[in-house]
Amino acid sequence: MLQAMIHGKLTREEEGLEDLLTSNTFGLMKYLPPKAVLLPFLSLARDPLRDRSLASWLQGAVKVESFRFWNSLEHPDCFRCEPDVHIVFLHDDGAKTWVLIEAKYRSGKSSEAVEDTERPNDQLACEFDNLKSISQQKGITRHALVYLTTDYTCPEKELQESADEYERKRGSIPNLYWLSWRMLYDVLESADYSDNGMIEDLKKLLLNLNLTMFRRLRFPELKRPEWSFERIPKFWGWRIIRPNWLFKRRELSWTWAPMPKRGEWYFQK
Amino acid sequence: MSTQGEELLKSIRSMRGFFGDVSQLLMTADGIMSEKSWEPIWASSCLGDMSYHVSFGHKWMPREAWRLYKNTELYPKVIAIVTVFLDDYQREYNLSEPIVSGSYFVFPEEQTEETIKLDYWHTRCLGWCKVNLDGTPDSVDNHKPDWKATYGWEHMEVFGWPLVEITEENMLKQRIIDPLLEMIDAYCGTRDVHK
Repeated sequence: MLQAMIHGKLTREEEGLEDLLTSNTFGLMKYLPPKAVLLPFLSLARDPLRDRSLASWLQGAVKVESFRFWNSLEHPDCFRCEPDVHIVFLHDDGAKTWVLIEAKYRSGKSSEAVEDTERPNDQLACEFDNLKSISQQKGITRHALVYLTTDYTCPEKELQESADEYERKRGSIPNLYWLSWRMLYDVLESADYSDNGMIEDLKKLLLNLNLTMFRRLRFPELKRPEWSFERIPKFWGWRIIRPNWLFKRRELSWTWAPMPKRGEWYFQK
Repeated sequence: MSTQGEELLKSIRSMRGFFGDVSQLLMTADGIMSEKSWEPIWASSCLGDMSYHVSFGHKWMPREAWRLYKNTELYPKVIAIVTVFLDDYQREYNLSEPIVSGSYFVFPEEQTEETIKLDYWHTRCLGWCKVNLDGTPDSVDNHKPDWKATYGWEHMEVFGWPLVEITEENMLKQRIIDPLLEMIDAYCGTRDVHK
C-alpha cells in the first residue's frame, strides 16, 4: 500500500484514510532502529499546556519493548478506546515510558467532552484516562499521549478542551503532547540512515501528500512550453435579415429666400 | 502522436504544485509568527480580488497571496503582513519577477482595537513603493506628502526579496519574518521612548 500511496494510485478517499497514513509511516518506523526516526520524531512532541517537551522522558530510551497498532484499551473505570499506536520504550536504567499516539489526518477528534457522565468522554481525555489507569496497574510511571495532527501550529484549544474535561472529572492535569506530521520530513532529512530505502520512501510519501513545512518551491518546473496554441484565422460571417419594410422616400424641397436685387444692398464699411 | 496535450497537462499540474508550495510558505509563516505571539487576523483566507466570472478568465488566477497578523498583547496598534506577489496583471505597478514582501502598519495610540483595520490594497503596498529587492525597507509616515489621513495608520514600512530566493523555511525566517519583527520592535520601541 505504501508504494501505491507514493505513486498516487489511490483514490482521494483512500488517500485520506488516516489509518493508511499511520500504517505506512509508523509501520516503517517499527522496522528501523528507534534512534533513527522514531525517537527523534517523538522527542519533538511538546505539551503546550505545561510548556515542556517529551524529549526529557525519552532520553535514555534504548529499546522498544512493545509496538502495537490499534490496540483496544478498556480499564473498568474508563470508556473503551482504540489509540492508533502504542509504544513502550525501555530505558537503560530499566524504567519504561509508555507513549500512545492518536494520529489525525483529515479529521478531528472522534468524541468530545460531555457533562452527563463521570468518565472523560473527549477522545484524548478518554485515551489518557485509560493510559494512566492501566499504567498505574503495570507500574509504569511515565506515560504520555501524543496528538499527531497536520497542523503547522499547535491546536492548543483542542488540547485545552481535552485537558479541561479530564481535570474536571479526575482532578489532575493529563500528559497531553502535540506533534505535527510536518515535522517528520526534517527528522528523515537529518537521519544518519539517509541512504536507507525506507527513509527515502517515507520522504517521498510526505512530499506527495504535502505533509511538510515549507521545504520546496517548484518553480523550475514552470517553464515556458516549447509550443503554443496556433492562431486560427478568423472569418466572421452572418446572414443579414432583410426587413420587410422600407423607409418611405419623401421628395426633398427647399424654399429659397428671393435673392436681393443688385443695388439694394452693400457691405457696411 | 502529438504530445501537446500531455505538455499542457504537465504545465497545469506544475502550476498547481507551485501554488501548493506558496501555500506552504504562507502556512509556515503563520507557524513562525505564532511562536512570537503573532496570530493571523483571518483564520484561513489568503486571496482576494479574483473572479469566478466566465468573462474574466485572467482573474481566475491569484495575483497575490497574503497573511495579515496581529499581536494584541505586545503590539496592539500594529498589523503585520507577509505577501507573495505573483503577477501584476491590471495592477498599477509592474513586476519584473514574483516577490515576497514583509510590511507593517502602525496605528495611532488613541485608535481602538476594533477600528484598527486595513483595506485589501495594503497587502500589495510594495508595488507602489520604491524598494530594492534585497531587504532594504521603504517607509511612509504621516509627515510625508503622499500620506493621507484616510489610510488610518500613521507609519508603515515595507521590504521585499525575489520569491526565487525564498525557497524554504530558513530563508523565509531569515529574510522575511525575522527582519519584519525586528523592524516592528525597533519602531515601536522608539515610539514608546518618544511618548
